[in-house]
Amino acid sequence: MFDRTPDERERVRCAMTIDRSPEDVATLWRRYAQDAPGDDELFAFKQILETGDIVLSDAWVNGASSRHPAQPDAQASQAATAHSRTDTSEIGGSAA
Amino acid sequence: MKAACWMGKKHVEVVDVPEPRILNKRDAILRVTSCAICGSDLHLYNGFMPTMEKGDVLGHEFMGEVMEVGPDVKNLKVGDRVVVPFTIACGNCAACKAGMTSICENSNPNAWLAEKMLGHSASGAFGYSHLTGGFAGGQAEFVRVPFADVGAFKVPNDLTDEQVLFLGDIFPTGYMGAEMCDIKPGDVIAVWGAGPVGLFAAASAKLLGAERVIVIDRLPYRLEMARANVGAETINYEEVDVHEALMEMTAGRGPDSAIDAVGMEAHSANHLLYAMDRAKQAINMQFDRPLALREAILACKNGGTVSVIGVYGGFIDQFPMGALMNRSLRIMTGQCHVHRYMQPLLEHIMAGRIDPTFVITHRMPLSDAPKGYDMFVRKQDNCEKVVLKAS
Repeated sequence: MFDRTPDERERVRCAMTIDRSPEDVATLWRRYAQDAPGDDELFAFKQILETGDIVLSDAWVNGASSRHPAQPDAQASQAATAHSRTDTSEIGGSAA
Repeated sequence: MKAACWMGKKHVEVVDVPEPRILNKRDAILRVTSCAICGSDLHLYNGFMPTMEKGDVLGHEFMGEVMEVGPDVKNLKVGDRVVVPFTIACGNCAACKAGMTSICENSNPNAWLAEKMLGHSASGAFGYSHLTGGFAGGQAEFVRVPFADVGAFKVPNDLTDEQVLFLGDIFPTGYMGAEMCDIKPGDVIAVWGAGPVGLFAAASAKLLGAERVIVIDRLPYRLEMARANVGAETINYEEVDVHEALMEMTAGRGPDSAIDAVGMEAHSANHLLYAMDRAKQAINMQFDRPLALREAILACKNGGTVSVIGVYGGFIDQFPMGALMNRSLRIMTGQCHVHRYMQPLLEHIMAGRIDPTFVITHRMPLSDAPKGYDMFVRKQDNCEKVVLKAS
């Protein structure tokens, strides 16, 4: 998904700015994304274009399959590069 | 390494956790020298912020020495002494380029989660729930700093930790609260809350030219700090009616601007209203207790500015929208865009126009963090600000 020429990246980057309509963004995204576009992919793509990397949460590096505390990784060799979205019922969470 | 971890409501422990390491190319690892407990940490402590996990490393006010940098960090080197903003910002997105780093579009890995609650995500933040990215905090011996090339702010070696530590949050937050009031000569600024942020808002209002600053709280020692250190007039809301007192002090006009430096856990002398807000909060009918905010809106002069820097998390009930609309009030708010204030506020410190250490009442080792939280939340021993020495 991120293996694009600089020109292609620039066109998609421009499409993601506030100067373009959402329809333009969606059209360009559909044209340039090989996989079905999803919010995660769009966000990751934007992060790479604008920051050069996908920003990793300290919580993810303890494993991507379930919820973890925001701590340094317990096992340095198991850095996660993606996370799985847990059910949104966690909003409201475990604070109480 | 040792770190202060959130283990549940009103339960903080200092435990051994693995040391952080570089995860992204623009990360740095700091050895934390000093950190502090923020009033907004108490919202986590009291269980009011969602998406906390048992074991989360706390702390978003910290500074230290650079121990390691990622390959894309070109402006820092090992040994640099830095203060870090509590918000994490990429420096490259539209928001960062506009100077609004607390709404950075790229730094919250859990943006999707924040969007569910807030409509759009704000930036990532250290040690402040998974809604802001699940980043480990700085109440620890070491901390990972994402986008360190943008955030980590080098400070002169001839200033002490305590002189510069608050550049990462509470001083800029208070300053932004005052700046949003667009203060003119002769203005009267009322500040709800004499916690550290409220005191910095009051001091900043003076720096920005306010003629009078009135600070409202219920704790006599805090009001004394406002009088002694800021030259503020004060109102104890447990002794007088705040609205009536403000009208008397401003010839019936109200303060030109009202700053809410209290946020979601406000108290009130109006016991019925307070009880209703607490009950609604307890059964999730509202997320926050907006007692100070309501009072600020109703007291502010017609056409004035209500500046909100106290932290709110969700929805509130009985919001006086009618007063806002019909009286041409202006609301200004936001998490502080710390990055843009660090250099100018450092210059204020270096010039001797303000000494931020006046808010510090307690100093203790990191290992005493649980005691610090307990003292701060109970306001014991005239506790205003706790600084923890991490190493």
